[in-house]
Amino acid sequence: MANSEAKAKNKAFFKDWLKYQFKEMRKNGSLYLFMLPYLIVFATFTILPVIVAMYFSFTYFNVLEPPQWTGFDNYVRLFTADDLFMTAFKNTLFFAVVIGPGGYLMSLFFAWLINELGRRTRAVMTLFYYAPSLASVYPVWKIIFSSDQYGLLNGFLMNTGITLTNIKWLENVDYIVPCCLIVILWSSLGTSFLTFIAGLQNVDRTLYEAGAIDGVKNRWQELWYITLPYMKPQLMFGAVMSISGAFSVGGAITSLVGYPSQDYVAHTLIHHLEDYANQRMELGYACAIAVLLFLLQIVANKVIAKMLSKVGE
Amino acid sequence: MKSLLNKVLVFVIVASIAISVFSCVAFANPDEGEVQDTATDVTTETGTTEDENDAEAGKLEAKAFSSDVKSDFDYKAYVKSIKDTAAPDVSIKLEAKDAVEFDPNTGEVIENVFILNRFSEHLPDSGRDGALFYEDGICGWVFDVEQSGWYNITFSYLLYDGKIEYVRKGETEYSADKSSAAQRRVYIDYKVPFYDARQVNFERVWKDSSVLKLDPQTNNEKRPYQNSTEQWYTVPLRDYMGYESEPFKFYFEKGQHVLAFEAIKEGMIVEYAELHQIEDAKPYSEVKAEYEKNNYKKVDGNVALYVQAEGLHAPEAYTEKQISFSDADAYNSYIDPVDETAYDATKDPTFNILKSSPTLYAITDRSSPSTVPYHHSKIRYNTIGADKWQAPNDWIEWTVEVEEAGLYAISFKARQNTLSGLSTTRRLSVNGEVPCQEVDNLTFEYGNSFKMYTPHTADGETILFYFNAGKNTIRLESTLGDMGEFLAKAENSLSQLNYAYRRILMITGASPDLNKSYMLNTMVPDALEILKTEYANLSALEVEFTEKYGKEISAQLSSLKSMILLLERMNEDHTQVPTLFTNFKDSIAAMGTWINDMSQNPLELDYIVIASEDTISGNTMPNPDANFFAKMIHEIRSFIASFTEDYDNIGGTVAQDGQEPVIVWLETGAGLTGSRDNATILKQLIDDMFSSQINENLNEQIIVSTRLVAGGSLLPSVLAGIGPEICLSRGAVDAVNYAFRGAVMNLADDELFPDWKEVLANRERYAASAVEPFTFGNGIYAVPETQDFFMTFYRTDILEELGLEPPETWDEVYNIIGHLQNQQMTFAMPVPVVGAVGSGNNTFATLLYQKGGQYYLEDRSSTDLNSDAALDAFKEWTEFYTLYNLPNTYDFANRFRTGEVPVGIASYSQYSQLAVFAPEIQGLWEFSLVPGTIQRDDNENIIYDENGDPVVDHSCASTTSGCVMLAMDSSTEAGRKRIARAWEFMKWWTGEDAQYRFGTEIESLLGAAARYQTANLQAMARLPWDKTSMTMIQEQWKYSKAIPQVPGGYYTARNIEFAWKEVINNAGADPNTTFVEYVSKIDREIDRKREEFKHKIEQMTGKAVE
Repeated sequence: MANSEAKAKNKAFFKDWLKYQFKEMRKNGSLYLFMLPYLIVFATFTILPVIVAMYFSFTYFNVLEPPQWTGFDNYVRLFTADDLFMTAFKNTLFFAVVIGPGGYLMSLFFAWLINELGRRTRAVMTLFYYAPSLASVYPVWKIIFSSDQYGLLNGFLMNTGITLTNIKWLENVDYIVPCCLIVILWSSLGTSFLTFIAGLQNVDRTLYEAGAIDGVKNRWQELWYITLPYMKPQLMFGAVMSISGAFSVGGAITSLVGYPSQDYVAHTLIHHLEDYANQRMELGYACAIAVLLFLLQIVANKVIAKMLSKVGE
Repeated sequence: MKSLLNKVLVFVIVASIAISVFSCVAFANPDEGEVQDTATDVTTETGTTEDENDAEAGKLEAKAFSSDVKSDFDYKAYVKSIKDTAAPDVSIKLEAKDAVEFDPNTGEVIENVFILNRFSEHLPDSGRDGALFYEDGICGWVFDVEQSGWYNITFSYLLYDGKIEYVRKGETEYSADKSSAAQRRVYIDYKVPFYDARQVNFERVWKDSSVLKLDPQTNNEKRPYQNSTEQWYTVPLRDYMGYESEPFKFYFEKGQHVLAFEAIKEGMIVEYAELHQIEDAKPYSEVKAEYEKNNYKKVDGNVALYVQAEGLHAPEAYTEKQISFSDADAYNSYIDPVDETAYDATKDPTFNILKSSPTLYAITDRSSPSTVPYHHSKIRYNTIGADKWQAPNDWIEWTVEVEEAGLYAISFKARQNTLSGLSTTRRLSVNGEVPCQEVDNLTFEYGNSFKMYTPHTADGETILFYFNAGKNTIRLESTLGDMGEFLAKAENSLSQLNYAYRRILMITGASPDLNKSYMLNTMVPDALEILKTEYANLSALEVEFTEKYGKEISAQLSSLKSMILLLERMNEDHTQVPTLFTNFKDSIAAMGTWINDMSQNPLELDYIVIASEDTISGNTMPNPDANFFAKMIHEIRSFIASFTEDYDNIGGTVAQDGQEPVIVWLETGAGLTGSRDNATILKQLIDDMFSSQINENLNEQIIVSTRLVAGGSLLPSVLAGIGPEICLSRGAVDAVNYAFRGAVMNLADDELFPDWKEVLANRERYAASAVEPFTFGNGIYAVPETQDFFMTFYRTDILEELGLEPPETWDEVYNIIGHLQNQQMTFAMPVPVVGAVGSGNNTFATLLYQKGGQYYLEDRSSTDLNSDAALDAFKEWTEFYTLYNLPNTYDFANRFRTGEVPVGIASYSQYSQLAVFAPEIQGLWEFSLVPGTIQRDDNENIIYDENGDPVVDHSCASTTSGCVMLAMDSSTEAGRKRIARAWEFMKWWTGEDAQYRFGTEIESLLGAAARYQTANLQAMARLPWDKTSMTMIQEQWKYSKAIPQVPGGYYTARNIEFAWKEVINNAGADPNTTFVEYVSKIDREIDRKREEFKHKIEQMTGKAVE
């Protein structure tokens, strides 16, 4: 009895809640209208694909024939029968751990540094640092890391007598990952870097004065207690960008060392996904990988958000 | 001692002159052969300067033809080497009937050359007798010269079109043209007189196949084909590189001589060769005096004739403003030659524009509204030339008709917007002659827009030309002008520097050890000397350049300057040479490219005005450039039109009587065919050869719609059910992978394609290796389009220098590697390229097949790579890199060019690349079969063939692309009809005629570098390859083998490469265990995929999958 009562109560509550929501929405109708174009696009091109991918991940789908429902088969296979997945998973985590925080801190550091410069120089330096993420810069690095003796790095090392023969930077398993890391870190000063600069500009100057009066002793304290807490939204945004970027590293590696990389040393989940989607035409399986990657990013974001809430404490 | 030698020499000369007088008699009277014998005895006894004396010895003794000539003995050196400057004003005509064929090895005359009368009623200028200079062998004349001196040689010839029949050595033979220019090597008295005579070119004459018609559906103009026409053509022998702008002169002593031509490419019909003096053009002042003497009058008034340089347009193609340019009468007088009865070639207006190369076709310029004719968004082929008209000696000739005889001025609307700071030169001739000195080197300055150029004297006086009443010809010919001389010098320096580079390379290797002293000054003093002299030469050249062309040219000289700087540094201190060695190599390559670039001579023409002097200098001439507002309106209209114009739809075909068109897709970037140019050609061929005709098998017209789609569109479109019927240029992996998913049709289906065997099992049409990759089980899933395989390329000059023979077997390769590496050079084999998986796989496959191995078991259920043959092949492959240290990343063309890799295996497509982009080594390299393995029986004894030669297996792997038919419903009548139509298209497109036409069209559009690698054997035989190269390709083709496809086959190439890299990168890795490990990975993937497609595979093979 009590049960049904509670149910009825719940129902009534839910009804009220809906009513309230609708009322609110009608009141702010114009705002929703403004959001509508974006919402439509976002739903069609982001939410819908995610849902479709989730559905496909439970099917066998070879692209050209209709999908067949297979339940959790793909996931089971992923964790039990696919040794490459584990390599890819490991590599992805490694790249994410190095590039995510690395790139993030680098962005912050450089933004902070550049913020100290005069206005003109700041504009120029911002452009310099941001440029790599605007254009596809990998061909330049390919010349630097070129395997033959005419590659820039090889040429330099051989001319100075440090090495005697050419090193196959992008083919030797020992060097592939470090080379990739350098390039990706270098080009990771992207959107988050720009937002940080904007954030730093926004900090209320008077706060520094107040801080000085209240006993801030050095620049580090100023940074930690005033600047960073003040630009938390930007920090959060930057973190989200870094994380999603770090987990979906792939394109840069492909354009550097080709695909697949020698012995899969730089094989990430994105590669694994593309391998199954394009080469082996097993789209169901590829979707399963994508879903996992998606979950991974959500978890990582949650963790980061937790950590950021500690800033300034 | 010296004086004694001199005396002997004088004696010999005196004796031989005396005897030459006798021998002239002896020649007339063969009984007195004794005298002549003594003459040769004298020369051989003394043993000095044999060659010179031979020439003087009257009757020539036959000997083997020798093409040995040092590269520094060029035309300039040849002219200098002979003191005599006499130029006898006589003419010696060598007639067709006297032409003979020589035996290349003995120099003896074999027989008279076959005389052919090539007559066609459709051709205005045929029907003259000519000697057939065969497409191989050496033909020429034996003749007497009365007066010693220098002679020009003029040649009257015709290049035949199509097949001819002739009798040679008592047997009837056939020959078909290759639609390319003829190439000959010139011999005078059994040897090549100077380096530049190693090759002379005889151009074929080309014309448009029709006037420029409008496509009624799209309102775009259709580009006519380029047809070669059989025209008699008279040219002096001259430098085909264009460095020497004057025709060659040859020195002939009084006495008997042999003038012979060795065929390099194409047969030709020769009417005569004439030894005579070509007069230099007179200055205009003299010409003017002559005009007055002959009482030539200036035409008066408003006479003005506008000639569209590119061809005749339909009156509808012109805008209202420009309609006055149109020549509607001439356009309407055009009758399609297909309509035989009414056609009269003498009235065909397309003969009014002749050109020396098929790349000289009409092009579109939409940069300005003042180009005639003009349309802001539709295609109007309104100009001609530009970057297509830049090779030296390329010419265009216009025939114009004037009503009244008299003196006319000519003006060209032209533009040169490619070479900044430089001018382009053209030689203008009217009615076959250069009228005056001033127009021998007509210059067109650099500029962004079209300008009117009227030839004038240095004082600014307009030059007038005499035209007869009726037809006259105007020809513009690309010459290098003064630039030629500069470039010849640069080229000479370059070849010297290249030699020095190789000399030093032999000591230091490609990457010298900087901590080592190489003692270059004692080891290769000659090379260091070259560096010094060439430094001086190039510095002088730079000064000359700047003096001639002014400061603006400086930007064009950067390659030259950096070479000079480098030489300066190397000369300062020779111990710096090793440090700068890499730079040196790069600079040599850069300078080669620079010379190539500088000898390009582009010019774009819109129209030509032939008018009275008053009209041209007056202000009634149309403005060549549009004003600012006109341009702005033009840009805005084009921009707006870009929203409505469908640029992707190449077809524009409308379904007739409800018939659905066959939809054909071409993905951009796919294979060899995925570009807009190619799609346009394809569409044109379809219109002309396929859709316009009633298909015999289906008894109806088949409409085809062609579309150029973005790469990667096929998969999603098939998924969405909006795919095409046919997709062209798919790789083997695609075709079979689609087949496993039931997405493409099985073409080996007797019911739907009753005649499939005539196409796919026809060994005259395709090699087995072309079809194999598309085969799985009982099905074949694509029709081959292109096929590529390896050949061995080698530098004849370097191998000769080192005394080596090109390798025929792998044993010989090992031998050669040793020799080459002693000289710091190396051998090269194709290696896996980063980012393109599978590229190295063919190298492994080549070794595997020669060892008798195979990729997969017969039933393709698993790999067969655990065999001994496979392990051997893999080990051998890796040892090339671990033991022999072959380069594992390299650019073949560049290293082959410098000579660092004088022998290497590469795709046969490299042939056209090298031919076009490395002109400096032209004639210095050849290709042959890939090295083979000598076959042994079970007891390790060599197997011999019936001639007693060991049997050598030259197998190599080949790569194929083909077109697929997407799966269609065959259960309904309509569906079957659709399939039948698509099949008819596929058969036509992959057939001999279409493939041949496509190949030649593409080559004429994009140049020889774009030579089409058709898989169709019959079409291949007709593409413009020279005979020896073609024989080699066909021979190698017989040995080519395919890599079959299996489900999961993508894993094979990938893992074989992984294994290879593992072994060559890790010194400790054992080839055998590594290979076996990776092979097991492949097998696992194949098992998995077979399980996935179990049902389908059973259906495809008719066998159960375990």
